Amino acid sequence: MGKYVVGRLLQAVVLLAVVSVITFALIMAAPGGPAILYDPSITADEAERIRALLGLDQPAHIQYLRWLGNVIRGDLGTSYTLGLPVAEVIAHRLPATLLLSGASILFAVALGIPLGMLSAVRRNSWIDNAVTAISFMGMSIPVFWYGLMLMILFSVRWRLLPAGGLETDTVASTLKHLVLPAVVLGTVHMAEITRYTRASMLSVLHQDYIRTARAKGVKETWVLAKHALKNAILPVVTVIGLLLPKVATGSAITEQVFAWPGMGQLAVRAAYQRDYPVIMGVTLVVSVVVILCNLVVDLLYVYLDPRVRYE
Amino acid sequence: MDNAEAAAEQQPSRRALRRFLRNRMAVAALVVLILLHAAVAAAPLLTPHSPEALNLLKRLRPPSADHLLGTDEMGRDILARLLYGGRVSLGIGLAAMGGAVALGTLLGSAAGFRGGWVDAIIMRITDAMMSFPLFFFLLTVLALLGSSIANIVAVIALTSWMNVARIVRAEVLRIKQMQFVEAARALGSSPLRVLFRHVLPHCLSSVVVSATLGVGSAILTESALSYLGLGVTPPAPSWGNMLNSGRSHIWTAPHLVLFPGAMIFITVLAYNALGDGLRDALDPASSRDSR
Repeated sequence: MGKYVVGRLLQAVVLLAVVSVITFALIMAAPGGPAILYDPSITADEAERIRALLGLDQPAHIQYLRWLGNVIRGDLGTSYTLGLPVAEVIAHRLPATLLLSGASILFAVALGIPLGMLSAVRRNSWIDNAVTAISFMGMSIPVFWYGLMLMILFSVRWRLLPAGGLETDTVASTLKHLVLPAVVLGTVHMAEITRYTRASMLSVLHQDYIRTARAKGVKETWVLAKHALKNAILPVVTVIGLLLPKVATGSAITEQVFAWPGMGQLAVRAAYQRDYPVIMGVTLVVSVVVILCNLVVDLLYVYLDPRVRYE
Repeated sequence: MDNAEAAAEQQPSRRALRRFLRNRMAVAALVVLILLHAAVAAAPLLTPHSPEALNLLKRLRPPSADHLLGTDEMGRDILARLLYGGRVSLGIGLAAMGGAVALGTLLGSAAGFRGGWVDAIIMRITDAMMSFPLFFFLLTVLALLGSSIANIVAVIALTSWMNVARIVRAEVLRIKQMQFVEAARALGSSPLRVLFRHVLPHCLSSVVVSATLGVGSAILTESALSYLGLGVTPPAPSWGNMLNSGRSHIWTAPHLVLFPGAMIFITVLAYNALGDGLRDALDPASSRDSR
């Protein structure tokens, strides 16, 4: 088990190294440079000095090794545009993203698992058809449009909820701001969780032990709640792990729609402004979070299902 | 007569067609998609307006007889922009999917057919890419290298081939064990000929299914990028960038974002429903009820 975790972590480190090299190579290959060098108020001479100051006049491999050395010491560099340490900027923004992602996963699980179960148990009924239709729509709807539509209804028309941003003075105000983005992001994941739960439940319902339980006279509700549910829910845990990269992507887009002060917004702005240290830092941190959460989900699976063993 | 009919019944393609036609949702999706592609192709016949003609005197007008879906913040006709923008959005979706399928088939069949270290390396890369939030990478690439249509198609294809590769690999592994493949080998066919003539044609149905589903997700990705302002560059319309420019007017003119988003939604929904119907028809064993 310990060996497995170490192996996975080593793999993750290799993956992160590869990604950072590719991102860095792209930055080097891109025409032009950081936006601040093209500020019309500075002279060519000053631009040259800024370039030297930022180390951009060094050969690519030296720049990369310098960045890597700093990262290992916990220093992600300084943002070109904000003038603040990247680590500080990210630490400031990460909680909002984690809050949004966590809430959306919670919403997806809380709704997706019961819906999938219901759909499987009442297979081919109108409920099943309705649930299938809903999950189809959830997988096909463009997140940003869905967000804008809910915003038009709940914020513009009915004035029930704020149209974006995040104010965390009180719990109530945090929740008010959280509802719309979390539901928007959660719907997409809910659709997938519903489908997997349905499929998993259907395959469990065909198992011999279910037939045995029914044959010995166990009440149907008990058969479903105890025998079927417990076994059907296990594979769904792995689906949540597989969803994590999509959660990160979806949250980047949702944050943009709702002016949510998280990592996604930061990433889009940094990409526009070619704020290299922020681009590298955000890519690195988001990847680390996704990879670690994925590992936790896999370990959770071992804990939940004693039959699974990782060597 | 009876015999001929019975023989026709047994043709797998006939059976698949019949199964497909019985699936009302999939048939409806196919009809919607045919209409949609025809409308987009026939754009100049369907609207007298140009998608880029400005009229600042007629900004943000609601739908009317002259402008069936209203006008946007620069007084451009929204219907015209939807139709011409559809060419861009559907074109990018289809092209990106084509690239992803080509790449996925190539890598998946190499992994499945060669096995050994080739397989190990390709599948390790596939798994790594699937567990990675690639969207951040897309943003960076397009911001740095510029978001020309060729770049958008290339980055979407390069980041969405993994599903196809896994499916093709699994199919190749299954098919290469079959006796007719062994027979072809025994007759002295070269490995490449065995792969292209005997193994890959049998993967066609699963590739068609994942390609259909892939168009939907490619369209979603393109529209998300365009919405963020890193996709198709204005003034050329795409469904995503129409939403981007319309979002600041949601308080006064919600129709600016309503229509392009609805087009994306309907298109992706139809591609997903078609893909699902094709899977049920071509491969009943993996249909949604027995999966």
